[in-house]
Amino acid sequence: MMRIRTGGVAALTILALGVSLTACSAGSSEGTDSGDPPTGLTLTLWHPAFDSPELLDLYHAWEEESGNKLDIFDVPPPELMNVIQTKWAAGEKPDILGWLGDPAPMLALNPLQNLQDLSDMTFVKTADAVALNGGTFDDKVYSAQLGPLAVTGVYYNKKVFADAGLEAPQSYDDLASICSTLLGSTPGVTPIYEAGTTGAVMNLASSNYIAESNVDSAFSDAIADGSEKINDPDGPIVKGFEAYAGLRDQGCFNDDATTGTEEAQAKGLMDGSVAMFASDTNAVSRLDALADAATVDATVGFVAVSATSPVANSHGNPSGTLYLPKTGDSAKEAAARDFINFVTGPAYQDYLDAAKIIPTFSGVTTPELQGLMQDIDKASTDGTATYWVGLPGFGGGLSGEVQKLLAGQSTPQQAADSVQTLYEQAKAAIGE
Amino acid sequence: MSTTSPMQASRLQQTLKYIFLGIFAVPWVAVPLWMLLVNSFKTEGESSVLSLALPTEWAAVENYTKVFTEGNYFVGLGNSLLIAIPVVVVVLILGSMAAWAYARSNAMGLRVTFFISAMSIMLPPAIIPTIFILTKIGLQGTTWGYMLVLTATKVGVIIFLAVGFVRTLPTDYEEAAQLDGAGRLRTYWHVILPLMRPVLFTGAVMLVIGVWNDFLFALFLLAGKANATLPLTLYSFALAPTGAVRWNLVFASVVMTSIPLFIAYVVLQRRVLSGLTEGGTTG
Amino acid sequence: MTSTTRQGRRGAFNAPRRPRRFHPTWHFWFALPAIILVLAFFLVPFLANAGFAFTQWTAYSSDITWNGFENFRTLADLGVLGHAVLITLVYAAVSMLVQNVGGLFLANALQEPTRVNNVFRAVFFIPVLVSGLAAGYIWAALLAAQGPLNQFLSAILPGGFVYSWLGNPVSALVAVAFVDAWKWVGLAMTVYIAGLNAIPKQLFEAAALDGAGPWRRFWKVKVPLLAPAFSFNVVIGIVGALSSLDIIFAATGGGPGDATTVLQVASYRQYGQGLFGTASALSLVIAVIGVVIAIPLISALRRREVRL
Repeated sequence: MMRIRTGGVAALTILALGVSLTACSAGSSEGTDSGDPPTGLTLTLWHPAFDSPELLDLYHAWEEESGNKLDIFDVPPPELMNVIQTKWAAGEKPDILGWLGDPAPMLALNPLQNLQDLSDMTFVKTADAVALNGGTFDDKVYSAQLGPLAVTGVYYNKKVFADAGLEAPQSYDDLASICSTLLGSTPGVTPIYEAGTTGAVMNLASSNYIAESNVDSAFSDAIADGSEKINDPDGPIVKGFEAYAGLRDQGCFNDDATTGTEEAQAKGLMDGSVAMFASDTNAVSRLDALADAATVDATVGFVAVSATSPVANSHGNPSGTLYLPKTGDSAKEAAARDFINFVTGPAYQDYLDAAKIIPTFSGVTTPELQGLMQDIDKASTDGTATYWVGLPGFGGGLSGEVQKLLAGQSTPQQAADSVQTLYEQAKAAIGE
Repeated sequence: MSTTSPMQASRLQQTLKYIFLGIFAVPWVAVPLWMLLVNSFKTEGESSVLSLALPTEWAAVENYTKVFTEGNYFVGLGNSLLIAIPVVVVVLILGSMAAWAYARSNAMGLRVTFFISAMSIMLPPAIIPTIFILTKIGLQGTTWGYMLVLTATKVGVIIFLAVGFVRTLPTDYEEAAQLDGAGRLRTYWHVILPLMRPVLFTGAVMLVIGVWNDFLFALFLLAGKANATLPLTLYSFALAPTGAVRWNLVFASVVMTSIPLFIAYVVLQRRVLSGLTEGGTTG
Repeated sequence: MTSTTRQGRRGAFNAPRRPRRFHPTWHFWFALPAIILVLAFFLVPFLANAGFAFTQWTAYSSDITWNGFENFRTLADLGVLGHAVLITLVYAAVSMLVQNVGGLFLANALQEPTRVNNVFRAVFFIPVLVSGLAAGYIWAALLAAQGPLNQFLSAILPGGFVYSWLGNPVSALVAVAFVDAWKWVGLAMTVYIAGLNAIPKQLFEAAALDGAGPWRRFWKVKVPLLAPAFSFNVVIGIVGALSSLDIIFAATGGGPGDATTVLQVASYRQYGQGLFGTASALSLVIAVIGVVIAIPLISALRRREVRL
């Protein structure tokens, strides 16, 4: 089930797999999957409080199955990074950790030292390439991603587009021209709604723009090996920021873009006061919260939009991405591995059927998806991996800089300079 | 001026003053409270408009039921009470004991520790080392560890307030008690503590508010649903699965978190305000 | 009142010598429990944190190494340091101004403990009870672009009114500082009432006999004698502003951009990115500002106390 063309990334992953399998056959010092899993234990699980009820049902199903108990700590989403990083730094660790699904935040957990190597586990053999790559560092797999991946593109209101005689956008030029048409013809409609209080501003300002430049991870690799710099005046990051600032200056965004929220965004798109917004797969659940799936499908469409061509990008999802910290308690570590085997194995199909999401493992039946989800699935087929996946220092840093750009506190070049500094800071921290 | 007597003038002045204060109180207190209440009665969709209008569709029962059931309200309430009451009592006792000692001693060591205690009020907490220490003594994530840290970080306020107050007290009473043969503890309990009542009352009000509403320490020092205090249970519950803010539930949560304190305030309001306004904050 | 003058003559730190004769070390034993707690859970963590400000310490590696002032330089390069200091000072200044002007005004109006006054006092004290998070949420809603304030303004102004109060960098900063003041003005009021009550009535009567009008009496008699109350409110206000986190989190999250990112929020962000060295450096800056502003104020307060 190679859903997303990632070329080099996939090759890298396969290479990583080969290496890790060799390591396994050579005899891993970590716990293995064989033997009876322990029972009667209580494991701590930290996870983002926004995990779906279906996902929690899956976790609870394991309690019944294994005879172990989970002590679940809901981390409030706005504090996710802070709470987990802070507790982690102080040496407090859970047995199972729900955390962001990309290598960059994973690096911030110092995986070699702190995380169990999962490379020899069964789920690795059937995992989707992007999902697997998101959890891989230094040829070792550290996370299991239950999905769906966060596929990023543009959501639009079909009726607003039809009424104005517009086609769905494919490029940033399209976004600008659709915007000026709408500003002229239907002044009551906000062309693009930006949720400036969230990290989602990265999508339109950067991730989407660069998606087409990152075929086979070309751009990520160029940044990583230093052949391109983040703040090159003609580089795609600065160009993306400029395009973004251009849309802002054109008046395409909502008046309250800097204080915009994702719920208002979803609401506006459903009632037709908003024409478009850029977001990832998780927006579907926000839309579904406002109307039944059929209405959402009839109202909203999803398209891939990049600088000049329709290319989507995807990365790991903070929901359902699981890591196993090394706790030093071998019984609990073994039970935690049993937990991963269960949620990625026998129980996974039930979870898919209940949650109706795109799977991240092969060998399962994709449930009947709602139309919008099918659009996303389709768009992702020709997509690339989000460029900042694997580049350290991009998490809170990039979104913070884009928020300043959105608020007019920095120029595109200044924003890119700051991101460059953050990247170098993080790289130095890793010791690269 | 010739037609109105000074009495009438002052009555007119008084009336104008209260009209003005009344007008001022509307946006300052009434509107925020009204918005809080009325939106906590609305459905999620309607509350997102954030208007002051009455709900067209009442969802009060649903919202508040959710606060009680999904919001784990009673667990949070129980924990908050079990934590706040002992912490406030212990802080008042330890703080007033220390304040008496500081006020009556000139020893270098105590001057230094008094200064450190005063600094503890105004410097931000160092969370990571705190967690590290709690982990070392096996109390991280527990109610005991949290109470210990709250006590330690709040005791400085009482010391700071009470030392200034005790210094203004004559030493005659305590000297008399000593001459009567009372031990230090007896003198503290029967003489000093009653004398300190006004300032301790002021301190207690500030403590209760601070401890009850504490969010930062609770977020980092308490682990697991079973230990969560009200600010924690309600904060994590009020956020929708998508991470967005559900205003109706946020407001219902805010109402329910504030209500215990509010009830206490309504009951004790006279005492609180007279205590504060006559108390020794300026001492 | 002989003891008071004795106390005054001896000065703040000069305790009476006599109790020492009874039990030389009882002071120590009485202070000990508080000392242990403060040392273990304030001083030791604080010093550790101050030390970390000069280290290269991140979540990426378990090695912690000294790096001098590198963290401060990095923060300055990123434009975080100067900006956050400026934002913090503006926030503290606005909050304190509103708090003290409002508190003084209310105290002056409500000084006499009459029935009506007590009701008003009780009403204006209510925001003090509300948690910082709740205050932030309430005002974020009231000030929302389509929220009640703008709905009201649209109704009375011709042509409607649309303005994102929390979306503009300047108005957002003023707004969050105002929310901070809103929450605490009730406490400032009570402190000022206590201060007013402590002023001997004869002073007013004497001033009135000298022919001073109410306004003159306010400035010439009340204001100078309220200095201790003023110092207290200012210190508490600064402390509050320096450690303010929950109001800003709930209202703006530090935005738009970084317009309301006070030092405490900036430090918190660095923690969230696993950059513990720079986070500790920002904490240290908060501590230094607190000390620089608060210590002179506290000693001034103590001097006045002696003079009274």
